[in-house]
Formats: sequence, structure tokens, C-alpha cells
Amino acid sequence: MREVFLFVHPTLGVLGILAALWVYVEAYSVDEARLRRMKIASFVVPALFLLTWVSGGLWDSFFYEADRAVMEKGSWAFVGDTAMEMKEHLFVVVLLLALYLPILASAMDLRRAAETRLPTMTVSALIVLLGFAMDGAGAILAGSVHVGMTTLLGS
Amino acid sequence: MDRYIHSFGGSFAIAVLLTALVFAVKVVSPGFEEWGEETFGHAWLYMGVLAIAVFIGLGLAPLRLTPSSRALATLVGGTAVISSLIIAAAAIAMAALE
Repeated sequence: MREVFLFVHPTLGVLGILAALWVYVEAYSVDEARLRRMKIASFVVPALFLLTWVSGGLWDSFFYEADRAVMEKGSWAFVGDTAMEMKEHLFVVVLLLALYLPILASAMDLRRAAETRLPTMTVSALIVLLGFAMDGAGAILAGSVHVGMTTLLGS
Repeated sequence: MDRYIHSFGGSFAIAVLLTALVFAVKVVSPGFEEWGEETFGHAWLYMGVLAIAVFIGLGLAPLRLTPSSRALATLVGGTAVISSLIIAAAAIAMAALE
């Protein structure tokens, strides 16, 4: 079960990033078909990020303590702690952007696409960029645990 | 629907700045963090619930901070970047103090 939570939350997060990228591409040049696809994708984004939030949070609640104890033995403890704190709090910004995206996309129609296009593209681009930052922080955290483990095992 | 674009944009800005501010206060005052975790549980849960409550609560209120869609994009983008920088700085400070 531990590994399921560990791998499910970044997978859902990456799928959320891809869905936000999909919204960005569709919003770039809107016609009737693109608008319909963009609106569907805009609702997929918050669904995936809400699942990412819950699955990552449950992993943090039930399984992170053991990883942290291992990480603290290594020389990357400071980097790992920073990455974890960043992930925990920066994710709130990504989650709110994801919840805001369908509100923006739902208001867009062909008649006044120019009005809502810029905020929609801004929000979807921010989700992609901050989402990648979250993924990077997760990779650093995994690296910090690995350094702690090699310190403990002496290899 | 136009009203909600602007009200939720404004509520997003307030919610993310509040999140960054609460995190900064937790770094400066470790007692506040302990109280938060004892009272509300894990930080990932109560910080997220707080932010979503502010986002939805203010978003449904008649709030309009921006006159145009360009200003709305600037507000949302600007507050997201500023909050992210505050959170990154606070995360470094918190790890250094532990």
C-alpha cells in the first residue's frame, strides 16, 4: 500500500499537468471544437489535482515519517526538508489554480474569447510551471532519502 | 459568469497570499505550527482546507479587484509568483531552523 500512495500521487500530478497543457493549447486558438475540448479538459484538471492532494497527503500522514528518519541520516537532510516543506505549501497554490481554471474556461465563448483567453492561458501555464516545480521537489526529496539510505548502509 | 471570473480571481489572490503569510508565521513562530497541527491535524490538510474555504467564500461574494481581463491575468499571475517565492523562502528558513 505504501508504494501505491508513493507512485500514485506524482502520476496523478503529471496527468494534471498534461491536462492543463491541453487547456493551454486549445485556448491558444479557439474555434467551436477546441472550445468544447478545452472546457472538458478544464474540469479534468481540478479532478486530478484533488486526487493528487488527497493521495499525497495520505502518504505524508502515514508513511513519510520513516523516510524522513532515513533522510535525516544523510548529508542532504536540509535539501530534503526544504523540498518537503515547499511541496506541502506550494501545492495549495497549484490546487487553487486548478480549481479556478474551469470557472474561467466555462465563461469563455466564441463571441468574447479574446476577453477570457489571456487569464485562461495564464492560469493553465502557471499550473504547468508550478506543477513541474512540484515534480522537481519530489525528485529532490527522493534523492535525499536515497542519500540517507546509502549513508546508513555505508555504500 | 463574468462576475465570477473576477470575484474568484480576487479570492484566488487573497487565498494564496494568506497561505504564504500563514506559512511565514509558522516559520517565525514554531508554537503556532504546533498549535495548528494539534488543533487541525496535518498541515497539508488544514492549509488546503483553509485556502479552499477562503477561495470559495470570497469567490461567491461580490468582489471585484480588477477592471479588465488583462488586469485579472496580471493579478492572478503576480500573486501566484509572489506567493510561490514567499513559500520557497519560508521553506528554506524552516529547514534551516530545524
